[in-house]
Order: sequence, then C-alpha cells, then structure tokens
Amino acid sequence: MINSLELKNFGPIHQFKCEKLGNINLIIGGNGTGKTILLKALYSAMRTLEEYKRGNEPRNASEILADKLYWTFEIEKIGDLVSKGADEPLSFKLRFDGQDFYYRFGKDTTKSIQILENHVLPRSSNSIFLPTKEVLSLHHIILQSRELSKTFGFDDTYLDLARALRQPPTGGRNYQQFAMSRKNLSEILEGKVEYDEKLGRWQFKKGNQKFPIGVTAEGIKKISILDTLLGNRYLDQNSVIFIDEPESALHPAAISKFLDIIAMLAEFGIQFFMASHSYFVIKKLFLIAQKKERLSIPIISVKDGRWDIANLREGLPDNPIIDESIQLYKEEVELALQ
Amino acid sequence: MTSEPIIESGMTFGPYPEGHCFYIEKSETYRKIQEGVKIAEFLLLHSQDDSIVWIVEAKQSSPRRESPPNFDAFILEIQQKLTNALTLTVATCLKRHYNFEELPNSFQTLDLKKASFRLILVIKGHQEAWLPPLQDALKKALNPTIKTWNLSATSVVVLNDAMAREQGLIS
Repeated sequence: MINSLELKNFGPIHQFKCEKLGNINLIIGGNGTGKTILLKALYSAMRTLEEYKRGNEPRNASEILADKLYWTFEIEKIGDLVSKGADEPLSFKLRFDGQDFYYRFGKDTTKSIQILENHVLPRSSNSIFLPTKEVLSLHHIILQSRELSKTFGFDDTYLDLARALRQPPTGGRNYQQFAMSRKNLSEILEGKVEYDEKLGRWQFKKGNQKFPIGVTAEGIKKISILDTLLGNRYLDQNSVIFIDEPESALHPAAISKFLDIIAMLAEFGIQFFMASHSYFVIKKLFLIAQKKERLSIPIISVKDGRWDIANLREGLPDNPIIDESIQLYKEEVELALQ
Repeated sequence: MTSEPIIESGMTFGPYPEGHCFYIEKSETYRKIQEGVKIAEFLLLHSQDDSIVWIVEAKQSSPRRESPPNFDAFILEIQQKLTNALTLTVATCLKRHYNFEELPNSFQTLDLKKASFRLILVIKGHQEAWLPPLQDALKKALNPTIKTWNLSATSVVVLNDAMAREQGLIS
C-alpha cells in the first residue's frame, strides 16, 4: 500500500505531506482546492509503477510517467503542472510497501523528466480511478476518441477505466471478499450490467428484462463499474482504487451501503483514496472508523491552501462539510427563535 | 419583578420577567395528572413577542457521546414530553383544569387561535456538531404534533447550553 506521500508545487498544491496513509483515505475541501489533482497525481504515479517492466513494455519509468501525466492532466507540456509563480520545481515522493518513488521537474519541462528515482518493485496488480461521471454509456466514444483520434477530452482516468471494463469476465472462483462484495453490490443494483458482445454495447439486466444502458440510472451505472472490475479480476487485493466523489448520483442509503462494501474490500487489502463533498460520506466513514479497528481512515482536509490530516477514529475534525451543516442548523434556529 | 430561576439538568434557566414563565413540571395541575404523563420543564413567553410560547425541556449530555445510548427511546421521550406539555398548556389556558389560576395571567389571556409555540430541547454540554442531526430527528418525531396543531415548520429547536445562553434562556 501507499505508506506516505509528499508533494511540492503540484498545481494548486504548494505543499502537502502525509507520513502515514491509511486503508481508506478521505480527502475533503472546497471546489478548486486540488482534491482531484491530488488523486490524479497519485494515480499517475501508481500506473507508472504498474506499467513499468510489465510484459514487453519498452519504456523506462520516466517515459511512462511523462506520458501518464500528459494524458491524465491533458496539458500542453508537463511543466504546466508546476504551481504558477513557484520558484522551486514540482516534486513528488511516495513510499509504497516501504520503497520510495520520487520525481521532480521544473516549469519548462516539455516531456522529459530528468530526475526520477524508483525503488518500488515491479507490480502485477492494477490500480483504477473511478471518475465522477460513469463511463459505461460513453465506453465506445472514450475508446474511439483516445485510441483512434488521440485527442484530448477524456483523460487517462477515463481511458484506463474503459479499457479495464473491456476485459472479459473471468470464470472460476473469485476471492471470497470479492464474491461477497459483488453479492452486496447486486443487492443495491437489483440487477447487473453486462456487455453484449453481439450488440457491442452495455445493458442492464434485471430479472429477464434487459434495458439499454442509456436509460439506466446513473447511480446503477456507477456501482456496476466497481462490480464489473471485481468480476473480471482487473482488481486484486493489492490494487489501489481512487474514487472522485463516490457520492455522485447515489442516494444517501446507497452511499452508505457502497461505503460498507468499500470497508470490506479495504479490510481485504485494497487501498482507497476518495475525494468527497458529502456529509453522508464523512459521517459514514466516521462510523466505519469507530467500528472497524483494523482500518485506519485518515481524513485529509484542505482550506485556504492549508492541508491538515487527522484520523477519523479520533473523531471528526473541524471541516467545511460539517461546518455547513451547522451553519444551516443555526440559520434554522435563528428563524425559529427570532 | 422576576420569577425564581429554574435549575434543571445542571443549568440555571432565568430568572425571567414576572408572569413570563410557568414551571409546568412543578405545577399543581401537572401533579394531579402526572401518573403516566411525562412532561417538559417549563413554559416561557418570548421576551419581545408574548404571543410566542417556548416549551422547554432540559437534558444533560455525555461529553464524549454523539448520540444518547438509546437514541430512539431518547427521541420518543422528548417527543412525548414536549407534546404533552403543549397539550396541557392549551388545556390549562382553556381552563379545563380547576387549578388553571396558577397559570400566570399573560398565559391565561393568550389568544390561542394566533399563539405560536416553539418546542425546545436544551442539552447541556452537547457539541455543536452533534446538534443538527438531533434537531432533524426530533423534528421528524414531532411531525404529527406540528401538523395537527398547524405549527410553523421551524417550531422544533435543539440547543446546547452555550447557544441557550446566547438566546437568553439560561443565565
């Protein structure tokens, strides 16, 4: 798992350091504070580590990383990632399973990263990024725009996910925890999503009825993506899953069940990073942190460019989500007692 | 002239202006019917508008506990106390109990058709962040009372002692 992380001058993130990451890591903060950028920075690094030396991959880690940053952040040159006005270069350091991965580059860098140190052993596991929007209904368009047209529009988080979903389901016994998670996911879904090879499109199957993916609820598509990745074994117990706004398109009750499944998978070994704006996500994770002693759930919050880290086991730290709920409550009290 | 302060759950409520407060829990009217009837602590007329009646229940919180040990039972108890207090207030104002004269004159002359009511729970030591969900839960439980009495949608209020002090409820 990713043990620690340190970023400097990475877009809006001037300085961030977390020495002890957990099984589930929650990132909260207002819009434009850099939550998604932090997730994408981590994802780019993990995918670099996973593609490096895999099969006949000929590129070195610097080349893979430069490509990954370019297509994940969709920038003209990777130097554009360096914080505006920063005197120092961008630097990124993570420790994975006790081994360091580090890179650094300045604002004039186009596509060649000169300083990169990698001590992490080559990985066979896959990490995945689940973006805010579902990809099932856009599956073909994503693949076409990136693989054929090679144009910006759908970044690498979308492309990698579309490709991962294309992997056919694998037969045989799945991990017990994955099977249990899929059973619980199917209870939320009340059906399942399948790829119809003949028609070349995704469908939602409920009982004997099949529905086109276009008329399937957004929340169902979102949950189906995780279900598919657990079913086709793209993920395993050493995977890292990044989820941007797990709450999007989900009913609060479904958020709660979804997070229970995430907690189960985290206990199995999968590490999660999530960025959220949701009161329900933060409250539910707080409860999971109280109930499951084996799980460490750090909460990383950003406000006015300052990053703070606390552990949900020790309580809910001051944060803008709870603050807003208190603010609304106070407005109501004022209205009632004026 | 002011009324005697009321000490409940480790908080001192009042003193309030004479005739603005009725300690319903210690009233003769309640004493006669108390078997099987739980009730809130006291009634208070709004300091600026005496057509608004605050019905107040006081509780103590565990400093480390977000919710009471048995949350549903806790909410049910508060709901019953506040609803019974509202009903007994109106019944006494209507002089249905022979002891009605113990009710201060300003309550006896309330225009019940127009009077507003606030059902207020004050919890000593409860953290601010724990209050919004509690207010939502109590409001949900009191919804039948709010609807049957046609009370305002913002009639249910949950405060901690610090906020009650800001509102002038406790000294």
